[in-house]
Amino acid sequence: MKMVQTGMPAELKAFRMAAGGAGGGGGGRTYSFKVVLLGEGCVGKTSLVLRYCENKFNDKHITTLQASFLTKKLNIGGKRVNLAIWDTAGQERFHALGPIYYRDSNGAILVYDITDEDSFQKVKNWVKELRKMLGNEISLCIVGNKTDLEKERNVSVQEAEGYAESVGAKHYHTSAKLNKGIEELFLDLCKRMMETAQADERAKGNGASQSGASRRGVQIVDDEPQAAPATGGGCCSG
Amino acid sequence: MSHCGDGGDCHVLLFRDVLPFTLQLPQAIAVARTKDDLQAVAQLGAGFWDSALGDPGAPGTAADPSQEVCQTPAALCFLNPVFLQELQGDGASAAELHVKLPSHLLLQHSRMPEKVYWIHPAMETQAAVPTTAPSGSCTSPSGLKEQLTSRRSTKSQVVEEMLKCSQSKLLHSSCVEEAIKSAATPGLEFAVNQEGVCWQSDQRLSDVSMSTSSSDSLYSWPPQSKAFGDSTADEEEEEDEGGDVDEDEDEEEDYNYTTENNPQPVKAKKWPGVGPLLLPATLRAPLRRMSGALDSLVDPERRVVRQVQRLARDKTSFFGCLVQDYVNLVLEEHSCHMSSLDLLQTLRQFLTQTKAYLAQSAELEPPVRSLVREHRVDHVLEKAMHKCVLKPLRGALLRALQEFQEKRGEWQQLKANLAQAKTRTPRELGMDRAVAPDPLAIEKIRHKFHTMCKTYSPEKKVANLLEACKIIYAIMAGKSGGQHGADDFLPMLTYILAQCEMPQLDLEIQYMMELLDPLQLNGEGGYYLTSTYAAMCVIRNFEEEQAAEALSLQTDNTLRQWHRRRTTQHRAPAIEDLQAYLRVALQDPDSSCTAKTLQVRADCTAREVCRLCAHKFQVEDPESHALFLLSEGGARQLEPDSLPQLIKAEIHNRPQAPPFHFVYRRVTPAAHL
Repeated sequence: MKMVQTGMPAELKAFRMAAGGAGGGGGGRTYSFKVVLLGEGCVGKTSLVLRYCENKFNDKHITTLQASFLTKKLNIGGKRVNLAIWDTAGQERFHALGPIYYRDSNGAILVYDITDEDSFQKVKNWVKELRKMLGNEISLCIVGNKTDLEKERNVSVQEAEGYAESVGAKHYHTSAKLNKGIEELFLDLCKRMMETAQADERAKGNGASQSGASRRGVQIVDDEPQAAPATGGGCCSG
Repeated sequence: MSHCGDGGDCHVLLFRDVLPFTLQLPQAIAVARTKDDLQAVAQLGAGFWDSALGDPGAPGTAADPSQEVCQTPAALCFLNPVFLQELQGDGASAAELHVKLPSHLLLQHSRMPEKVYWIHPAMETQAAVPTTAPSGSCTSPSGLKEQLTSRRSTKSQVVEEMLKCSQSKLLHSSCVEEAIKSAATPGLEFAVNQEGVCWQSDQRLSDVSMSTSSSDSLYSWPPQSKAFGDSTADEEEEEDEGGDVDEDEDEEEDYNYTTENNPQPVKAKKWPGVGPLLLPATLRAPLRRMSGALDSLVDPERRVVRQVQRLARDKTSFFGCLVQDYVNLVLEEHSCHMSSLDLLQTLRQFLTQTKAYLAQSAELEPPVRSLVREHRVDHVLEKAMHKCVLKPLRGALLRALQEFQEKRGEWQQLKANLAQAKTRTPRELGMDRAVAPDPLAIEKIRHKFHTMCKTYSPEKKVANLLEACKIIYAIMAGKSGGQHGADDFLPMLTYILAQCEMPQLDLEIQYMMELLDPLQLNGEGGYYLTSTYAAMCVIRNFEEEQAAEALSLQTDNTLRQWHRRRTTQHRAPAIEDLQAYLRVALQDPDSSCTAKTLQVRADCTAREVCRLCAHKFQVEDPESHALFLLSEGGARQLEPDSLPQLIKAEIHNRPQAPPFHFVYRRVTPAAHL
């Protein structure tokens, strides 16, 4: 399990421990995942995610802003999943800001443009950095976008897929323009993140401490609230 | 009243003019002859009052007021400044009792003449011992002292200790209340009425366990925002509250409401003539009833919030003790935190834990869950906690954050960088596609930011921030159409932040990031907060950014613009730095590393340098080689169009130039992993 990173309140852990104490089995839970979107400018990150979330804005949010932050609700095998998708600025000058964005992410989608070899190199840089910072806790997706421009392909399918496999990531081919491969990409990613979360919970021992999994964004929503350590409710009414 | 320090000495103040009876020391202290005796007492801490030493008969039931008062484990005293001079001058009367006045006392007195409150030495519990189950007494003072000096305690310990101490205080408070009641003589009232003096005991650790201030209940909950001189927050808040404009006043009056069926706690309000704030009894009762009736009419969520606020003001409740102590602690002792992060995270933890307490406390009557649906409970309590804690603390917190930054010189640097960033064009700040907003739009956004600064609630601040972001999106959509992702948004935000030139935004971001309910950090608010933080980072590290930028600039054109700017602005990176030589090493996996100094003009691109290297190093397959810059951060392949000499100059110009090398080597596909 990842360490608490800077800026993330340490008390979160304590709080979750108190709030999620009841644990409880499979049914009626909601997973909340954070997915960060990385890749050079112009590779089509934004169109990709817009395509996916089109017309599905969550009205619960204070404002419905545009394409930098998007949410999506899914139901996978009876489990509810809330996705929060964080877009990042792809320009090199903002590269150093990466950790601020991908902190606490459950998944990362690394997009390159199949016609642009350089954008694929950038993806490699990101993979290296993410593995270094977040270890294997994060589910990685490498996405070759713009398959509609197959003729101008500059990154070979073999190389890309081979590379993805070598770093424990999954490779996908998408075309935001033709709306191809996008649903599969996200669905697959969600399933993998759920597996990771479940494995996490099992490893932590069910019920005893949800804090590990919760810290990474998996919350127990429907459970009866806590048998938390009341800090002495009894002594006060005097 | 007495105050016993753990140093063994005991300071006693006596006001014959004020109190109608003589105060007595607890027996054990009175009979103490040596310093060791007193030390033994001090070691007991709050436990003293439960121990055989501190028990002069039947504690808590004694009828004799004077004895009761002696038992009051108060670390604090009343000082009546009217008599202060007299007392200090009067050596005879103070012969056996020595008066110790903190030097800041008089200052504080003049600043807040109408407000009387205790500053609890319980602040020292910061470094207290961790325990999971609160017990009746506090840790021994000496133990605390060690902890305090070592300062290794975690934040959870702080809060836990606070909980513990407040509880132990409560154990005593009932008898204390009784004592106050009987001590409420005209003389005392006079003292209270005259001038409020806030007296901080000299921060002894024993006070931790003895800080039950018997007379806390004499006073209204003091640190309202008035104390910080920010009425603006108040106004804003009331605006938001809609019909709640007089809420605070109402509650001043009706705050016995919750405890009405519990006659024991005595409030100052019940004493005739104690203060000008009080209404005649005939008026008060109906008002209270009315308020109660109104309460049932208002929205249940708001009702809970009010209830919690009322409880927070009620010193006889566990929660009230806790909150008031904590607020005072932060007000007075924020400087003991090591960093702003430390300060804010401790505070956040306090909010979270008290919230958890409230959610199941029997002190809230009726319980939260009877009024609010389960999934709203946390939200409502969070809001209530903001009102009780963040509202009085906002001003002090932001000042403290600024102090932390000033101490490290970050504040000054940020201001300088902001001013510099403001002079940059949108393109220089990374806006490649979007068009810069007009001054009017920027003014509109600046206004939003100002509104944001005025409120205390992190949630409301984030809402304001989102409104500002919405305007930015509207600008982008209006200018170039379509929907925009972070590629466009972040540079635009950076540009706008630079244009607004508000260094205080940096503090606001910290405030929000750390105090916002952690559950919200992954949501939309969290995202835009993160983006604002990121944009501030860009500005804060403006100078370093330029170096990174140099590596990836795509066109000579931009590069030359940048070069011109640098040379005209600084005039420093002169010819010496742009020497016509560049040392390049050939890294060959088979052989060792060889370096050559090449003649490279300032306007020579990396592509040309590569060609030169291929020739000089006699490389057979130049197309698979490239020029890299090796420095602390690792290796970066230079863009074919970038200018190595300029990059070198840029690195040389940094305040602390890191070691770096230009390396000509093979580009292997797997080189990155």
